[in-house]
Amino acid sequence: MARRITILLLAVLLIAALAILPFFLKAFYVRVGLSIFLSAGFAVCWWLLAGFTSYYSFGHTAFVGIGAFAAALALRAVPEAAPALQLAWALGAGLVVAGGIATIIAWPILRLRGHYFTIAMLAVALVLGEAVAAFPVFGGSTGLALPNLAPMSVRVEAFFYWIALALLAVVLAIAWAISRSRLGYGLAAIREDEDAAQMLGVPTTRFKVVAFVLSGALTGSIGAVYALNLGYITSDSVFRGSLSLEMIVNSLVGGMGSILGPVIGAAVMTGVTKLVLADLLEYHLAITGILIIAVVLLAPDGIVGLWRRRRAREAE
Amino acid sequence: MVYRITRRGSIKAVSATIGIGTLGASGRVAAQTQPSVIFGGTIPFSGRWAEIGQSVHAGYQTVVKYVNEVKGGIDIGGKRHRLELRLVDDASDPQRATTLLQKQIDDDVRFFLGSYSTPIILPQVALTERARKPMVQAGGGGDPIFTQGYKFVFGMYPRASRSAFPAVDAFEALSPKPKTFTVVYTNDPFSKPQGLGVIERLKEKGMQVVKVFELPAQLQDVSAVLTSVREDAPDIVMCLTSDQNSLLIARQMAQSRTDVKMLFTSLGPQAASFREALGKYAGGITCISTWSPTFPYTDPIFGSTAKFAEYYRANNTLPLIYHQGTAAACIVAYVNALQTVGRTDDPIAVRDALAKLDIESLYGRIKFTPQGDGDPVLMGSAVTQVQGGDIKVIAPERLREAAPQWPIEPWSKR
Amino acid sequence: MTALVQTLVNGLLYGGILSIAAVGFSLIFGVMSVINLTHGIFVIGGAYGALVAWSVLGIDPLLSIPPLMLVAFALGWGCQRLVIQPAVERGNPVAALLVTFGFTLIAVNLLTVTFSSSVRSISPSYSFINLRVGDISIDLVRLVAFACGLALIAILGSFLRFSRWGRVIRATALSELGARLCGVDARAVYALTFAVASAFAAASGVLIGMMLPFTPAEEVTWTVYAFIVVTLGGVGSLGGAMLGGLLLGLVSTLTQTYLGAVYTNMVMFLILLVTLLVRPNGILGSAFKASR
Repeated sequence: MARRITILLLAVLLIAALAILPFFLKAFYVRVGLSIFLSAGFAVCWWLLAGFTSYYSFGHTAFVGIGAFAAALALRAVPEAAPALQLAWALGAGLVVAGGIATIIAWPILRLRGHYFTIAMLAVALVLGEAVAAFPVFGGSTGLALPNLAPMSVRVEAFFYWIALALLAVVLAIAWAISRSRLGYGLAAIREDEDAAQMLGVPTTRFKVVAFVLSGALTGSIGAVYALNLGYITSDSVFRGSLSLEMIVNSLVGGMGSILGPVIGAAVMTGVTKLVLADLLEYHLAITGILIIAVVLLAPDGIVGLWRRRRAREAE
Repeated sequence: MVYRITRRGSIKAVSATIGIGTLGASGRVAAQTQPSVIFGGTIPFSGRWAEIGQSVHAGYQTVVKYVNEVKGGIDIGGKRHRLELRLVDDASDPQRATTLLQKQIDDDVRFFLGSYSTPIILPQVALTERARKPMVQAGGGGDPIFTQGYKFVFGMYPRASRSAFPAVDAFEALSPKPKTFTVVYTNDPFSKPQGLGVIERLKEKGMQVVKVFELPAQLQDVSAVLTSVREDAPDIVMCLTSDQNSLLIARQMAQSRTDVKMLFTSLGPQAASFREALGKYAGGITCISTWSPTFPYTDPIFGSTAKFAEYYRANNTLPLIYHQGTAAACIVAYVNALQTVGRTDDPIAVRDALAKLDIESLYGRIKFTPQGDGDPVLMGSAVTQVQGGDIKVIAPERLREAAPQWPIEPWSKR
Repeated sequence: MTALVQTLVNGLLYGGILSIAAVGFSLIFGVMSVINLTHGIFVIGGAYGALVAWSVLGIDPLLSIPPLMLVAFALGWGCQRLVIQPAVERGNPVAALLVTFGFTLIAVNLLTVTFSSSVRSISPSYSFINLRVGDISIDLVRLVAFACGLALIAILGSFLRFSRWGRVIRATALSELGARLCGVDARAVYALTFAVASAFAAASGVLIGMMLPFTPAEEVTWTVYAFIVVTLGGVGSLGGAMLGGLLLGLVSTLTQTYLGAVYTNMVMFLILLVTLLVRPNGILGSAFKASR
């Protein structure tokens, strides 16, 4: 109990510290922070499904795209509302529409296991991306512009920094709560051996669906923020295979074994690619590739795993 | 934990930047006495737009190199200034592009050059607009860049929906007058408005559009479209497509002997590699040349378009196409505006000077509309046709190098 | 009627290319259960290899296929041994996927630096010859590429069926443990599989380079198409890759003609999704390791 309170206190302190940072940092570093929170948010959402159940989705960008387009289209319906309302409306639209579509596809797609599930999610992302581009109602090929919702008195990057931070905190809290609940233990059982779990009476289908829908809906709401921050989206820019890959890379680099893995992975990868390698015009891709290979081969359980191993060795 | 890692990352980044800075400086100690004008921005050096990104980058570099090495800088307010580029790779990723651009705004870079493609440039423009710093770009032609009231962005082309008008006008002037058209465009933020604009214009002029094909952004096979074209047999097929897609369409048309009286592909024949790949089958294909190294213009920095082309070719291996020309023109426009203002620390004054700009350059006339895009008549493209392995301007009248070949030879007679 | 026949002919020709371009991917997926993201880079690498052979050395693209296959075989072997095998041994299926992703980033970067990202194409003298059968028009290049593709698939098929190493590969695909108990060196088999798959990917790249313009960034397209073809036809079976490719080619041209070209990709991806949901093993496939 005492330990849980300490963790909670530390988390609140950390969030408070992160929240006041924009007052001291240059806009660029605030934007790097914003990028980290968005990638970390996406990665944690992906991890909600993959980390608990080992259902590796290869197409989570589908939910980013759904959230982004739902927000953009929803905002067209309320052009005159107060910015705060519009923001809530856009986030809500991203959450609900992504969650709704996740619910529709959850049953059929979760019947698939292993690589089949992985590829099926890739297919979902590709179909939706193409559909949003092909049908003029969505405006995905020519693109949609989103209004700037930041109040005049607030720096726009700081505004989105706080929203992304808040969303990340919410997603982490949900993930943490799940890991301590019946649902969490059920999902872990599915990860270890789905058939055995079912035989022991774990409602595997229901649990998987809940995790999948939660993961999709939350990704959708962060997708809405992603779109609002960019201000202009096309089908290409939000239904982007590299977004799906980033979630996977960040989670694996950080470590799949812990809720903090995806966050640390996102922070490290964003830091490396946007800070350290940003000035290299020609070779940054190759260096990123080498880094990814090195992490997989040298730290198979990610950065968190590396740290845990070292601690275990020290304890001996 | 998260915070600490970020901090460490940023310290490394700062030291890396300093490291690179010192390294570069040691190589040009003599020049250090001159103040410099810094141009910032991002370039898609990898990812989807990498191909064009490299051309755009080469165009920027050529002007900077020429000004610094040949002319010894430019005069602004009575002082010699060097030009300096500070471009980073946005990897064709809009989120990365805005983050990296913010760094330059923070570092007080005052003048920005364009990346490529509307989905990248539009979010960037939102940042530069807020920072009240100008961006002159030749990479984003999408209408929304110019229709949302942004004041600090300038584009070297007319906006997408107007950009292929010169071709329609040139075809209307042919004799005998063509009657039927098939329009093909790909479903992306540039080609689609361009195609819809063309259809509108054709109808305005009383021409008949027999069929319209909307194709996916990246083509693999257009045999089905061509089967249908053979059935309809329109006089002219107009394709609003990227180089790669145009090459595929032209190749498959020649292979399948799909004959029309005129084939137009908005992008493609401008590049020598396109004409080489098609060989004799490239003959007669028309395109719009936003710019061509053969244009007869004078230029305040290089003297003339031809001299720019000569200097470019002496220093680069990448083939010279219109992207280099339009990119170079962005810097030429900046230099002129800076000289008018007479100082380098007032981006707002430079923006006002750009808005009033009306000069002739290696690119042609530079005069922006009040919304910031290129004037549709003065900065409209020339229409060119492949003749004898080279491209020749066939319209407008004032630039004409050769009479249009009309109708073109059937594929089988070549 | 002519239009329909023409559409079908075009679809089959295009489908043949999709088939040959997917066999390597199918082999690796079936035998090693690794989603190999480097597949597309070997395809595009083959196209660039043919470009160099043709434009620098003046070798006809078709003649450059055997030497390029050898080079790709060696590269594939090295890549598997040095990078992918260690990741496979980590036991996490996604570790191998990530490593192939990292390798792809490096390769794309190197290709871009070497060849720039300009659009390239290979046009040997016979590229523009057209055959006419009645009202049906057939591009010679596509026909040649189709025939070569079939020949290559036949060669690979007989290698797998009749040679000693082919049998070992198939045995390992069925059960790694079983094969090892019979004295098979599974690591050598994996390296061989990857090398053979890379060689065929490169060969298909040469054929593709003769038909379509290409850039380094194109690799993604061919990896994704391989995904669809293999899933549709059935993993790990050459017949499946053949069938999947031909069907997909037909679907693609039929959609173009009768539904609108803009929907082509969407329909192709939709078919992938529906196949997975209705018959995850593909039309000809049987369950393989990764699904269990």
